[in-house]
Amino acid sequence: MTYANSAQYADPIRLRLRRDPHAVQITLNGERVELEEPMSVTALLARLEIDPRRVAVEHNLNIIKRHRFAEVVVGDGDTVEIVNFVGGG
Amino acid sequence: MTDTPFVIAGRTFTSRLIVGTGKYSSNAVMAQAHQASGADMVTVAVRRVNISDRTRESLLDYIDTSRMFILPNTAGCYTADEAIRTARLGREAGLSEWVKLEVIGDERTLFPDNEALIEATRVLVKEGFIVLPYTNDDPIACRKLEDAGAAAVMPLGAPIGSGLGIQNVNNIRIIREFSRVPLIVDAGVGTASDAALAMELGADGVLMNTAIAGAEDPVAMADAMRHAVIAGRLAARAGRIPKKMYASASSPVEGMVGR
Repeated sequence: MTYANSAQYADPIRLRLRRDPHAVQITLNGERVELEEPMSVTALLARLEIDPRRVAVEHNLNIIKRHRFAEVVVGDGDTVEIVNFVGGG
Repeated sequence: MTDTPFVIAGRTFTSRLIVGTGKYSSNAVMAQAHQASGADMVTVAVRRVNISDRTRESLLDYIDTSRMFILPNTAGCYTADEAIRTARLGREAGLSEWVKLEVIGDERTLFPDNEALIEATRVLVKEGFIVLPYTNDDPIACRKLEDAGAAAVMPLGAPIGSGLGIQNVNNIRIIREFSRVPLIVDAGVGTASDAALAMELGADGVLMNTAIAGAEDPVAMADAMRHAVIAGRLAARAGRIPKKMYASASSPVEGMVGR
């Protein structure tokens, strides 16, 4: 089987990964998301246009304190949960 | 009649009515209802941020946090672990140690799982949380929660969102007798008289969401609930008359004209 044939059926995210060796795949709120490079929680929130003062972030099951958002780096294969308050009783 | 202040874990609240933030037709209506309720504590749920929704409208934009204390809940959690995880996330999002702890045992009734609830209470209290557990109207469960370090006990009046009113009046009375921590009737209230009854039974407060949010006019119902809780509290403290089988005339029996 040639490379071209297998590529036809491959996951587009994987193909993009081949083109960009720095790209990382993370699981964000249960969905697979690709980032062009590892980045801090602060950078990730900025990318998502989320106000860091109103959310809580869990990185690989560890809760990240807000004052550590800038130093914690999200890398390939990581799982991130970003939660906020919604209406409830 | 001056009342004793409503204090939970050292924090004083001006209102004995605690209201939710769910199920409103709009955030604007919710804000008006909150205002009318006079409440100074509101419950919120902890959920994933919707990554694809770029409007970024926040519930907190509609809550006057200078006046309202935010109580995150663990609604929808079915295990102690899930509830503990959610409580920790709520603490980070809200920067307070308080949690309305829910561990649900059954999807149709939304009745709490007592065993898991007590276990989660124990763990969270050790971590420094102020735990307000939503519990069955079971005096023994309430006692165990108190022993586990709960800052209040919050027995249900009836299933969440049912509007049935207080189903086991006697149990609420017994829980009142048993409890040394504040007793808050949480869930099941349908209308103002239900809230008044909860207070008359000796509850320190009432927590509700659907009764207000689901009313045809939520703002008017919030106002009604505010009055009901105040009236019920006053009545409880005033000391009601005993119930009797027969009439006892209110007007003098002497001095009747023509006799």
